[in-house]
Amino acid sequence: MSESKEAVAETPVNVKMETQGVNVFYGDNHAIRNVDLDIADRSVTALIGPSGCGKSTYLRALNRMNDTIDSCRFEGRILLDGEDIYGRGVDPVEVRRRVGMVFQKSNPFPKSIFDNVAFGLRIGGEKDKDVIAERVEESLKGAALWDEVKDRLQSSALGLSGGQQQRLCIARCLAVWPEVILMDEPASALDPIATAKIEELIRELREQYTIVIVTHSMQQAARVSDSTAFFYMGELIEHGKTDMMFTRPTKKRTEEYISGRFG
Amino acid sequence: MTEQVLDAGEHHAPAANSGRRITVRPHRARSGLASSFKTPLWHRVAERTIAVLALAAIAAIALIFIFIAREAVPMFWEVEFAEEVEIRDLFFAKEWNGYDEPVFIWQPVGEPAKFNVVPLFVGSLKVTLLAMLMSVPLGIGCAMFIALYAPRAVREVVKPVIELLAGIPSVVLGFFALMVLASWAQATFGFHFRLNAVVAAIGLALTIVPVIFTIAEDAIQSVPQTLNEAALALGARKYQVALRVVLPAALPGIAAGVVLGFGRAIGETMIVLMASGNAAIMELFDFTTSVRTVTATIAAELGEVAQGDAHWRVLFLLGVMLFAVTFVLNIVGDLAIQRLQKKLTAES
Ligand SMILES: Nc1ncnc2c1ncn2[C@@H]1O[C@H](COP(=O)(O)OP(=O)(O)OP(=O)(O)O)[C@@H](O)[C@H]1O
Ligand SMILES: [Mg+2]
Repeated sequence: MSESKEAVAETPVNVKMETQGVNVFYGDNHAIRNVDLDIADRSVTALIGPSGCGKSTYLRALNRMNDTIDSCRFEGRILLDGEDIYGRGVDPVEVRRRVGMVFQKSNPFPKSIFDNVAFGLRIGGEKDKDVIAERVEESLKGAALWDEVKDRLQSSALGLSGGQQQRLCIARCLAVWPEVILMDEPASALDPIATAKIEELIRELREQYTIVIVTHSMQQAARVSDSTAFFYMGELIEHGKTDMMFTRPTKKRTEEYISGRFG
Repeated sequence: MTEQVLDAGEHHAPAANSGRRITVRPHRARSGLASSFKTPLWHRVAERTIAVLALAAIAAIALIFIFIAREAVPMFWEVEFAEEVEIRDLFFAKEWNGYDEPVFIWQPVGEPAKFNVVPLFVGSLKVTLLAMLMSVPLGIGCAMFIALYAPRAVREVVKPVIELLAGIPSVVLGFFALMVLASWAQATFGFHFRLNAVVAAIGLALTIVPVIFTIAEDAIQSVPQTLNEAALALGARKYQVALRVVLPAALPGIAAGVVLGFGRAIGETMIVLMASGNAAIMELFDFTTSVRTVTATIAAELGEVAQGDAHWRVLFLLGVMLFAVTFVLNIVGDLAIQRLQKKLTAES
């Protein structure tokens, strides 16, 4: 663990997503204010900050999920591998296929476990049954759920426990081979054991994916992330290596928040 | 909260060890016999009342059935009835005098009177099926469009307007079908008979579409937004979300709307009475001929027959059969809905 963190610190990091001068409004509410943030490839970036500071809003800007909210307006640029995902003629559906998302509350479809994981492939036009079956297995293994469900793939996903459901949602997200995975408090509704499983999973996924995770738990941020971004009132206050942020934050607000003096 | 905590502590560590004053709550008074776990009287009264009301509703339906059946069943033993009508002629084709093949005929004023119920049920089924064929796709399609696609401004106008349609008296719709629709349909499709099954079905559809629409729209609206978001985040297009996530999840509700619409359609009287042409023609597949439905027959003829004579009894038999058909179809529909519902909720 600590080895790989140092490795990240030493090698020049590739930037996967670049946020440039991003502002997000809900009607008159200026929710994200002029945020510039680079997200490193194959690493875990944690977003922390007090409730209502705009973490979810920022996260949802990264895969254009905010487009589905009528009152929401976006300004600025977000580059994915150098290409502006808000550029002219960009299809948000294509963006979302490359930037997947896992929600705070697990939201499996009322379908079988298999169909849940296969959903993204099928809507993407994949017809080949063998390919789908293979990818479902691979994704469930990737989400550390395979052993628990391999004998009941055809039963309803709603019969799974909360933690299993959340891992199913991760598997469902992995199945479409995204490059970036956004997670909005993925473990906040889970017990410590299920949370530990998700965290372990995140650390494994980091080898292949770029992960951005919103969390309210400082410990969780410290455990899983390589870098941490601290948001406050819609602004990005500080961003840096997680070790540095938690030991020697440069801004007073960050220090106050991390030490639990407010938030 | 705090009080509870203190209260719990009280058992283990009596007040002595704490500097704070702990208010000791008095034990519940126990009356001689009553256990302290008993449901309060008021709740029991309320529950009983609700149960009684529910039973009363069921009893009312049963009584209606009994009263209708009571007028019909004497046909099986009454001599007067047997003199006029043979029971088997009610259901099977017969070669009447002057016909060269067995036929199904409803001709209560003929000599002899001919009471074959089959053409009436064929008429009812034809009109109902045709009306459902039009209303189901239209109602569900409208509901999907309004719930998922229409801008809010459109939804806020269209929804109440369609729901208002459900409130129009059927005699008005019947009049509209009779005067306007029939002429338009004849001019457009070149029907031989001006009033026919198609015109009646269109008229019926005007009352059923709002029923299906309203219920389906509610069902679609109540599909959790989180499922929409899950699908969108996986790269689904809007139509894929609609067809693969929302529609399946809303299916039990939509099916309930269809079942209700069917009940409405088969029981609807005024529109079919006015717009169907009312000729009891035994014709299974040609929808451009006039038809006479069970309901229209009862409505048109019951007022003009003598109480207790053969015609009277047969009309009540029609009522009993209609009741039974509707009842069975409703139960089948409910079972289907329950199965759909089960598939959606957790269970292996
Ligand atoms: N759908 C919405 N419509 C209007 N305003 C919204 C919407 N979602 C969020 N906001 C507003 O945007 C601001 C940021 O909200 P956001 O949900 O991003 O905060 P957050 O940091 O994720 O908070 P939490 O930690 O509680 O999840 C808040 O002021 C909130 O009221
Ligand atoms: Mg949030």
